Amino acid sequence: MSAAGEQGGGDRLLAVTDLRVQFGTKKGTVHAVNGVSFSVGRGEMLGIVGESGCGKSATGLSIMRLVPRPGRITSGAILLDNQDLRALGESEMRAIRGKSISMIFQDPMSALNPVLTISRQLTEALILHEGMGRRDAHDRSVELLRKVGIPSPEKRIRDYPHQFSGGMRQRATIAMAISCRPKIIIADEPTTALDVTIQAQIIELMQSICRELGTSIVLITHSLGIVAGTCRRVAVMYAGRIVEQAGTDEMFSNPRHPYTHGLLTSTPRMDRVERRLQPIGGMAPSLRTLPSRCFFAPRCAYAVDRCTREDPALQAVEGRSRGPVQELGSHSTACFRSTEQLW
Amino acid sequence: MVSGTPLLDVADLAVHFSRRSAFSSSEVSVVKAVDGVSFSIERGEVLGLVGESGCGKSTVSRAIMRLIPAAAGKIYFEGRDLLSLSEREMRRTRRRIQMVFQDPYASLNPAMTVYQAIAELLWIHRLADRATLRERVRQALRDVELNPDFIDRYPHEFSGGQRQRICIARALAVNPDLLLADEPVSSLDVSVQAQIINLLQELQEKLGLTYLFISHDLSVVRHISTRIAIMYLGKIVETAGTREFFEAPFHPYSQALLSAIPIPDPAVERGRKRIILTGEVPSAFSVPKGCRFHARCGKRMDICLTDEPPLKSVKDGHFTACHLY
Amino acid sequence: MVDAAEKSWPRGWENVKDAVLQFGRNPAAVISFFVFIVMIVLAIFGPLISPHDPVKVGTGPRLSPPGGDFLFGTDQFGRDVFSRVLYGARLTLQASVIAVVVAAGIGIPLGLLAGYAGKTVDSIISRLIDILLSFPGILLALVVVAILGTGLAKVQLAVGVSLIPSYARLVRGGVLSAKENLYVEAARAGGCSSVRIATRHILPNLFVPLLVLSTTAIGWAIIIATSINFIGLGVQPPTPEWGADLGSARSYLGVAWWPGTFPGLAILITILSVNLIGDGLQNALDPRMRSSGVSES
Repeated sequence: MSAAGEQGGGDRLLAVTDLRVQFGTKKGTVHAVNGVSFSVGRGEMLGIVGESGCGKSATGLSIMRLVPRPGRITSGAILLDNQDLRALGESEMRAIRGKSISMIFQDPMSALNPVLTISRQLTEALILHEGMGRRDAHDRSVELLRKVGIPSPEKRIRDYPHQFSGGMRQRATIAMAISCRPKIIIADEPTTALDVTIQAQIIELMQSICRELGTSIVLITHSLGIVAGTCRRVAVMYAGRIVEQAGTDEMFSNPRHPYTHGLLTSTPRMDRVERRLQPIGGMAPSLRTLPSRCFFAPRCAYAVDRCTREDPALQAVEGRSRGPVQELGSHSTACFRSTEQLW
Repeated sequence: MVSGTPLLDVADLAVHFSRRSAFSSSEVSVVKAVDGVSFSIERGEVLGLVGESGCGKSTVSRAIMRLIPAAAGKIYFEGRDLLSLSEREMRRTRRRIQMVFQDPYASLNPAMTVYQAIAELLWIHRLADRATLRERVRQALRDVELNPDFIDRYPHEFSGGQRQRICIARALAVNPDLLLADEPVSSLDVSVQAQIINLLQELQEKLGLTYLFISHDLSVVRHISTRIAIMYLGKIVETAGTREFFEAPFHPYSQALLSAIPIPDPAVERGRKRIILTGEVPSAFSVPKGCRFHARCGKRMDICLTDEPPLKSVKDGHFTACHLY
Repeated sequence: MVDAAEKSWPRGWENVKDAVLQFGRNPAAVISFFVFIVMIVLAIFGPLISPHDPVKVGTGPRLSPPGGDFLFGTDQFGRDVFSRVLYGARLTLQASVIAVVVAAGIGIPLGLLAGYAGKTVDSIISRLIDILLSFPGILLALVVVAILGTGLAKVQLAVGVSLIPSYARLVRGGVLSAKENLYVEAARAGGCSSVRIATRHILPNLFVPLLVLSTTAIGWAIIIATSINFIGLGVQPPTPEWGADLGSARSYLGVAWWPGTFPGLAILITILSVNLIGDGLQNALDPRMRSSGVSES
């Protein structure tokens, strides 16, 4: 199951092909990720959007090979600069984490040790990966804190995480993430726990990192609004698969999957008043069994007989891009009725 | 909308928390979580109370319900000051004002079935006797579009959205006049949020309810509210009718808030002018002198550092607290 | 209509079933459970199955070893040790249960009051608990006996008093932490009175910890009661009681091991089994409280 134009490494910095992740629990196996394929170019920002339980976090963790037990990657290829990360041993992987790929989490306290100073934590990566001496690492860390917008960094670097506010903690984790100049950053819901005005600051910071340092970013979020304003390309996930992938402009102006369309019509917008939202009925499926039909069919307003018997693969859609820039790659969706004008 | 006595009229409400210093037991630092808040809600209105964390919006709702003590001010409900009631009278009044909380998982007792949870309120407010209790609960479930056959299930058997429906059913089973909804959809998924928002809207229209809708999400608030009040660090900085507010916000904080909210439309996003605030959301422990917002305000003037601006009218029905006006 | 996500056993029986299964996986706990049942049966039916009169002097030859007519042998007064152990079971279990009931009956309301009634009341009660706790259980029971005098009933009371602090502290802690729960706040917002909240929302949560505490408490009660009787301050001769018999058999240990060993073994087995049951209960019931399953996103 692969999307046209997304396969293989080539000049794409990160190429994930047919990724599958399972969790073995007491009550049976949970198929968290079921054949996910996507790629990220250099200096590009890709948004992965979905609700809770869709597998987006598991996907992000897989790229870093940080899936917690009892989960494991059961199949798929993860190519970073044409190197298969799955083939690497743990020590080789450790050399890559923090250096070539880094991660930002929803809760900054996941990444920050509460009993160590910010200084200790920032310099650690520099000393380990870049082989810097302590003095140099300290100076560079102060610069990093300045770059991420923390005021009086020379003083604040000696603070402990609890002395920082939520927004500043997230900035500190971003500083840690960019310290060794990674090629790509995985950001898993980096702003969800933050206030709106702080969220705007952090998003702006991440955009400037992408622009100025040329770092690619995979932005995992449930917020369509955030990806609309920041990402070049978007992938929508549901029940462990990508159901639609496209350039951002194309995706929002011409959604071809009922789930994507449903997300758009059920999200209230600040700039418009609708009489009623159009929610998606029903609930997300349990991922313990893999039915051999479209996963979304039970909730889909447009399901036909075929949808209940077969599993749709990701197919290319003729792009009708309306944005000013021609988007990279194609528009693909996993729906049998993608060619019809359903809405 | 009936004019006359507003259903709820809050005047100069203040809520203080005191914290003992770690070093000296006589030194007590006072946090003015809510510092002089006034607003009113007419019958049938939906007032959206918006602000970021630490602004005091949740504290306001708890103070109205007298779940926490108020330091000063008056809370008039149908003309009677709630703060002057005895605990017993307040308990009875709680039938007329109900509350729905943010976390549907934590606000239901895991050891009680749906029936027990809803029946409890009906029972203590004497709205049903043993014979009719069960049917009343079943009806309450039907009103929120839940299958009444689930009446004997436990909360953990339901999803987040369903639990929130149960909480709403419980609150509305006693036929309140006013519903305080404290971030009722913030912890729900997008598709479920939409279901619950629709449900709340339908119920409001059908039953003529009045809501105080507390949220940090202006997109949701725009959808459901008739009036909006913005809070910052314990005070209201702007209040206006919904459409009026979104068309022309006056206070610099409101403007920054609006510009920070992402809109799911790339074309619109590209064209927006962003007002990025500097600095952090301040804590209520160290409230700045003068206007509370001056440290982050791009349009700061000298007077803003010394004098606190009062809330005053800038247009008909539109109030703001800013020295610019 | 919105449907529930997963089918589930009716009511809360699923949890009970899970707990029973989990308990069953613990061999030590299961064996102890049956041993304890045996003890209870022996205690109840002791008089019926007892082959001899436990207090009649001269039932058999003095200090005759186990065998024949006397399963556990005879003591220095010629009494059947086996019969004495059987009757002793009843006494010991009775004493420990009464003690636990007394402790719970006073300790639970005390803890409720401390947790619910406000800072000053809490301070007073907490200090009281601290004072009681600073004495080792046996010492406390001895103090009570010293004040009230000897005798079976007084021993039971003394043991009960020594266990009150444990109950009060557990309930107080439970109330204080339960008060933080959102559903308690929601109940108050709904209009529930404090009494209703305490009885319907807070106390039921404490059922499991109280159950586990009670099994440990029975163990403690047995130790304290038998110890007091061991030094002769509790029951008076000729009442058959494990601790008392063990005490009076001390001087004969050189010549006859059986009058002391069997009561001693009875004490050991009972306390051990009660504690293992408590452990088993804790393991079976605690993980059940935590939600199972893995976060999937």
